[in-house]
Amino acid sequence: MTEKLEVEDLQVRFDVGKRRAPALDGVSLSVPLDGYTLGIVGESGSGKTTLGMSVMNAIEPPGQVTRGRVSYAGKNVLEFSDKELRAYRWEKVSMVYQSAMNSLNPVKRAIDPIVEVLQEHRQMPKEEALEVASKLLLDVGIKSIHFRDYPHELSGGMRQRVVIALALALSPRLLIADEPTSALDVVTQKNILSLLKQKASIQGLSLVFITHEISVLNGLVDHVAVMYAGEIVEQGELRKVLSDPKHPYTEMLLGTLLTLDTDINKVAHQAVVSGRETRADRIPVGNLCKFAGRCKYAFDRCWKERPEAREIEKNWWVSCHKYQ
Amino acid sequence: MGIVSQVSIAPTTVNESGRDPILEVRGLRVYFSKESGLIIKKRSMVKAVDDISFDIYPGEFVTIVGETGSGKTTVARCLMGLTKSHDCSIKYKGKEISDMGGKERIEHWRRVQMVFQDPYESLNPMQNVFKIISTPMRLLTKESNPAKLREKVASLLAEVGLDASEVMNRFPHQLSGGQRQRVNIARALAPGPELLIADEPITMLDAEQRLNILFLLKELKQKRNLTVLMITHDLASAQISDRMLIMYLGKLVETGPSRELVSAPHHPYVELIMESAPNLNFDKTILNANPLATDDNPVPEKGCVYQPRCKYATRECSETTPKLEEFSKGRFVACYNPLNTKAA
Repeated sequence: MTEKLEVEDLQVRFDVGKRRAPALDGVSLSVPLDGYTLGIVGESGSGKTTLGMSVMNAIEPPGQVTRGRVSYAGKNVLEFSDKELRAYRWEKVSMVYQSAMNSLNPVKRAIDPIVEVLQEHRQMPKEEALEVASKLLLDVGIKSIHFRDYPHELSGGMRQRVVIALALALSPRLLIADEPTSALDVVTQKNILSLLKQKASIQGLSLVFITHEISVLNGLVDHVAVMYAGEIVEQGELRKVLSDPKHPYTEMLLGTLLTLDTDINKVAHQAVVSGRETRADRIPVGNLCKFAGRCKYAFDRCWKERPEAREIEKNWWVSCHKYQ
Repeated sequence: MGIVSQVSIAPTTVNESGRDPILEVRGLRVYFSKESGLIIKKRSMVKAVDDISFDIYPGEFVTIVGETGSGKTTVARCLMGLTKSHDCSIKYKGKEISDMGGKERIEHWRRVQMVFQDPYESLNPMQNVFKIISTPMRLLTKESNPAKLREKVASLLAEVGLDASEVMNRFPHQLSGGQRQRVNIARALAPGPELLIADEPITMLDAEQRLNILFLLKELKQKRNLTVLMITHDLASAQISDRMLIMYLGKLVETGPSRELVSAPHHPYVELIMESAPNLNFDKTILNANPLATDDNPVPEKGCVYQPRCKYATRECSETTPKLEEFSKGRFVACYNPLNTKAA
């Protein structure tokens, strides 16, 4: 049996001010560590980043995990000691953060952080570390003339590539990429996505790609989990979910998506010119469907009972009363 | 900031209707000087905007599309008179913007308003929604009666789809991104402008809110008979406009009616961004791009700006710069080897 990263019934709260709704509320996921590719999509505030941070065991106060577990190959990551964490983060699971563009140390040259990581974790002598680091950078498409550039001398795409090389330096089994292309132009975005795809398919690296734009997942990942208000509302094969979304939220997400193939006049009826929208601190709390207030299919039961995830087809899970 | 601007004798761009343009831009150039080197300073010029000319007609919805660093925001700032452009010619209703003095400039700001990029940064966190919207009204339209101001702010908020009783006394941090952008639009509409410039109004928003704000702009355009100039890097959302101006490294490379342009682009750069844009077509996107492709967009010393990245480039392209010329009715392209020539 392949080893897995599993998230079970995870709840994370940030109880600050008036905000009482949990950032994550009963999320369960399973990612096999054998080249499985999963996209997590949801709007801002839906808990996508919190989920990634929980997997890294990097939730900091005031945030706290109030329920559930994250297990890597059977062991609970949330109970790891510092020493175990050190052997887990970056070695087993690494993460490219959302602001990766700005997360490089401005006074270190591009190759430096990678050399340092190799020296620390692999006890490599400097010459060997330099050699391995150069190979890693070449591998992600950074030419050797840029190895000694400072971050401000690199373009956004190149900085993103350096961060990806850094995340891959210790050959992890799983890479979590949190909106790595949101700040890039479409052409650069396509190059970076192709790079990640190549790494996943050639090196057997599992990939969790977090994004708010469902269309970038096309061609990159095989599976998708749609998040809304701290819950996974639909999960299944990407192709199936995209061609026939089951959850009303997924349907809305796809209905409001603009691509070059969209006939703009046909989506007009989807637009709500009035400003009704949900915010994380106003998400209804209690035993109900959190999407009910925005759902065009909502009926009585949606306001009274929280829908359970139900497998409507093999490996296709939907949490909606419509299907129960 | 070192800014050098020059006028050049520019070709007239669009002259498709008999109407007078609301805005005429001729030979706009903005060069920023850049210093590099730690000890020995080297000065060089960055051509943010390099000799572009276009017209905008009353009631049009125009978008400027271009990637980061293509100079689109600089163009918008010049139109507002925020970035100084000494010698070039930007005429608003036949009047040169740079010649405007104090009073005229204030009148210009009443007529031309801008919605800024980041809804999270561009609202004063210390002011509530009423204050944010009423200030430009008070200063630019000389309305000072508090009761009337309140009434006007309320009707503006309703117009942009917000519940006035709910948001009027709120502060920006109490609003969501979409709501903030609506407040931003209401603020820009407050002095009753004729031309609304929206700089990446939807970039920071979620898919659903993006669509809502786009259609809100379109609706406002129709109801108020506004002229809208939207700036975006996203060709897909630019499809809502009547006409597109595509910029690349400070140059206009193609302009034309949105629908025609997207269905059969003439410039190779437009073809590239169309190929790279994410879509939901399973057969189209296979992410087969070269993963090691460079992310540089080098600026060539001479010739066409796009030539180093262009797969159709010929010798001519590296020697002289193509001019933006009318290719077919209403469609202009700056390229020696335009594409889709039959479709046009």
